[in-house]
Amino acid sequence: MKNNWTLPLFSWVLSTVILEILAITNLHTLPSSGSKQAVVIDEAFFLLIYICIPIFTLITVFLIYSVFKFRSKGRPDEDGPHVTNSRNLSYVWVIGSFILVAFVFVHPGVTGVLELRAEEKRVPDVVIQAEAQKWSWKIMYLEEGVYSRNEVVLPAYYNTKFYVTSKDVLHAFWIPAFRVKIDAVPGMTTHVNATPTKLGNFDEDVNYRLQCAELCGIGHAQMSIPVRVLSENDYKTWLTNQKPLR
Amino acid sequence: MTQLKFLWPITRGLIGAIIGLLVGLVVGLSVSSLTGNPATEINISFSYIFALLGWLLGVGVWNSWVREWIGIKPSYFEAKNWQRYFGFSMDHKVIGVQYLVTFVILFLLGGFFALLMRIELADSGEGLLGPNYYNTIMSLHGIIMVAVAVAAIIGGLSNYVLPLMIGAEDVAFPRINALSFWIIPPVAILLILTPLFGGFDSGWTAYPPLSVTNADGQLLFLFAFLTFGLSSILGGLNFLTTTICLRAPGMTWGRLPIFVWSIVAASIISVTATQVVAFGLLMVILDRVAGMVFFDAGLGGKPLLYEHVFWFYSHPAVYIMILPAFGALLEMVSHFSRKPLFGYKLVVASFLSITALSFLVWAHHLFTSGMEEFLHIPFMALTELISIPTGIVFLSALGTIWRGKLWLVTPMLFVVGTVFNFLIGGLTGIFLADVATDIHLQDTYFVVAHFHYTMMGGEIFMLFGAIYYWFPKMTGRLYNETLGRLHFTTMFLTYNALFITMFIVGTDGMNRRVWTYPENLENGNILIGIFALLLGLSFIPFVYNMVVSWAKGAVSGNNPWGATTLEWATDSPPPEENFTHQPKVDEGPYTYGQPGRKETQATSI
Repeated sequence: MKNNWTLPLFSWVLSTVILEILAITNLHTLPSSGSKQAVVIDEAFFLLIYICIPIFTLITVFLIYSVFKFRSKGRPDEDGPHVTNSRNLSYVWVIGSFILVAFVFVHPGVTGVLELRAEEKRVPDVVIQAEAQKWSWKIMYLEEGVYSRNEVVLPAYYNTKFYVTSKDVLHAFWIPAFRVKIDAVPGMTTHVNATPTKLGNFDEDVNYRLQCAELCGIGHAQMSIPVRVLSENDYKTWLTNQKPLR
Repeated sequence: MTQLKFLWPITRGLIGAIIGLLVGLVVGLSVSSLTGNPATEINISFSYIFALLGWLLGVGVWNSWVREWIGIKPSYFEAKNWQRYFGFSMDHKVIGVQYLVTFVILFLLGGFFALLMRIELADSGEGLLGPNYYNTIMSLHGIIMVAVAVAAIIGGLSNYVLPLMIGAEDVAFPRINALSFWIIPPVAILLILTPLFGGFDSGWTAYPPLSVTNADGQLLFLFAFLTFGLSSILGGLNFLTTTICLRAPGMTWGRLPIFVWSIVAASIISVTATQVVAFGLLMVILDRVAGMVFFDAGLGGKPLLYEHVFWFYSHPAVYIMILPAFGALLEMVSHFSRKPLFGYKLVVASFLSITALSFLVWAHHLFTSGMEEFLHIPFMALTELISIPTGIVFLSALGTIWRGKLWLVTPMLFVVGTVFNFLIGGLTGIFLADVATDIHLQDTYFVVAHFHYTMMGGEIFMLFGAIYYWFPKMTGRLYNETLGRLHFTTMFLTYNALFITMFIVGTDGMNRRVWTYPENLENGNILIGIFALLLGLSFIPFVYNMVVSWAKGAVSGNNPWGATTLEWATDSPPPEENFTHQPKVDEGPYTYGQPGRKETQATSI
C-alpha cells in the first residue's frame, strides 16, 4: 500500500522542479514588452504558469503512474477493491482547490486589476482619440489638434490615454507590444492606457502595431497600422508635421 | 419500386419543402410590397419558415401526428433494418444512430473547413481562399463544430443509451424526439447554402452591427442557429422528462449511472438558456428584416446588449457540451477500472453546481468589450470558482483508477487522453479568467487553443471514446481493436502537437479570425497546418473501422465489457421494446468488488 505512493510523489516533486526551472529560464513566448501595462500583465502571466505547473504535474504523474501500475494484461479477471469514497481525501481536495482559487483570485487577479487601474487613474500626459472605421484607424491628438491615419506615434515614458470609438461595427484596439486591448463600440467611448517604457517601431519589431482584434468583416485582418515610440523631442517635431483636425 | 419505399418520407419532406418555399415566396412578396421594405430578406425569411414547416409536415409530422389531431387514423409506414434510418422513426435507438451518423459527417465536414483555413494560413499573405471566402469558411467551421459539440453526445449517444440505462422502453415523447432530429437537416442545408448568398463573415458569434449590415448569407445563418436552438430545447425537455418519469422500478436517483446525471445537468441548461440566445438572434433578424434598431447605435441601439445576451446562453452552452463528456468519462472510468466510481455523490453535487455556476460567468467573455468596469472582479471570481467542481471530476477519475484493474482498450485510452487534454484546457482557462492576462490574450490563438482543448480535447475525444464503448451495444458487433488504438494514438499525438503550438503562436500575438498575419508567425502557422493535416488523416482508421465492423465485425454478445449498468443487461442490439422483461433494480450502478456481485444492476421480475 505505502509503496504505491512513494514513486508518484517523488516523480511529482521532481517533474515540478524540472518544469519550473525550464519555465523560469526558457519560456519566452510573449512578445517584447514595451509598456508599464505589459510588465503587470507579463508578471501575472508568468506567475500563473508557475502556479499551474505543480497542478499539471500532480495530475499527469498520478495518471501516467496509475495507467502503468494498475493495468492488467487483457481483460481483467477480477474486480478492484470496493472503494467508493474517501471522505478525508475529498475534503483535502476541495479545500485545497478552494485555497488555490482564492490565492489566484487575489494575486495575480485582483492585484493585477488594481495595478492596471492605478495607471488609468493618473492624470494622462497625452490624450489620443482612436476612431475605428471599416477598415482603418484615425488617430487624433486632441490637445495638439492634429491627426494621423497611417501610424500611431507616441512619446516614450508618458502615460497616454486612448479614447476609442467606432463609426460602424465593432472593432478592437490592440497593441501587442503594450499588451493593451479594448473594443471599439459604436455609440460608446471606451478607454485604455499605455505608458511606453522604451523607444520602438514596427520596422524593428512587428509587435509595435495597432491591430484590430474584433472580427469586423473582409478587411479585418489588414486593419493594422504601425506604432512608433519616439523621444519627447522627436515626438514634438513629428506633431508639427501632421494634418490639423478640423 | 417497393425497394425504394423507404425513401418516401424524405421525398415527401422535400416536396413539402418546395411547396412551402413557393407559398413563402408569395407571402414574402406580398408583405414586402405592402410595407415597402427591402424584398430579398423578407422573401428569404418567409420562404424558409414555410419550407421548414413543409419539410417537417412531409417528412412525418403530418402522417404520425397531425392526422391524429384532426381525427384521421395516423398512417405511418416504418421501414425495416437499415432502411429505418431514413424515415421518421420514433424509436430512440434509431434516432440516436441518426443523430450520431449525421453529426459525425458534419464533424468531418467542419474538419475539412478547418483544413481549408490551414491551407490559407500556411502563407502569411494571401493564399487559397482570400479574405471573403476565409471569413465564411471560418464562420462555417465554427458554427458546425459548435452544433456537433452541442448535439452529438446528447442527441446521439444519450438518445440511444439513456433510456436503456434507466430501464425505460423509450423516451417520454418519442414523436418530439423524432421531430428534434428532423429539424437538423434544414439547419445543415441552410448553413451549406450561405456561400450562395454572399456568405457570412461574422463568425459563429454574429456580433451586431456587423451581422446586421453584411450579406444575406448572415440571415440564413441566423435562422439556422435559431432552428437548431429549437431542436436543442426539445431534446433537453425529452431527456429531463424521461429521467424523471420513466425510471425502472428501484432505479432511484441515487442509483442512476453517472452519465444519466450528466445528461440531466446538461438538459437543465439547454431548456433554460437556449431561449435567451434565440432572443438575441431574433433581435438581429428583426433589425435586418423589419427595420428595427436594437443594435443601431446611431438610433439609440446598444451593440453591447447582444454580447451579454449571446454569452448568457453561449457560456452555459459549453457546459451543455462538456457535462455529458464528463459523464461518459466517469462512466467508462469505473467500468474499465473494475472499481466503483470514486465519490459518486460528490460528483453529482459537482455537476449540479456547475449547472448553477454556468449561468453566472458569462461576462468573462467581455473583459475587453467596454462593459462596466465594476463587473470585472466579480466575474473573475465566479469564473475561477467553477474550477472547484471541475476539479472534483479529476479527483473522481484519478480516485477510481487508483488501485483498479485497468483494461486499456480503446475507450479507456480515450478516457486517459481526455483527462490529460482537459487538464490543459482547464488550466489555460485560468489565464482567460484573470482580467490582466485576458486583456492580452483575448481574441488571440491562445483563446482558440484553449477552447479547442476543452471542447475538442475534452468533449470530442469523449464522443469518440463513447462511440467505441457503446458500439457493440448499438450494432451487436465488435469494432477492430488495433484500428481503434491506431485512431487514438494518432489523434492524441497530432491533436496535442497542433494545439500546443497554437498556444505558443497565440501568446506571441497571433490574432484569431485573420487570413493574413505578420511574417514572424509564419513558421508556427505552417507547423499547425502540418499537424492539422495529420490530425485529419487520423480519422480514416475510425471511419473505416466503424463501417467495416458494423457490416461484418465479430458478434459481441450482450455485455462484451462486463459492465454493470442496465444497458448491458439486454440484447445487443436491444429489441424494439428495449427489455423483454421489465428490469428491476435494487442496487447502485457500480458494484465492482462487492462480494458476490451480480453481473449487472438488473434483476428480472
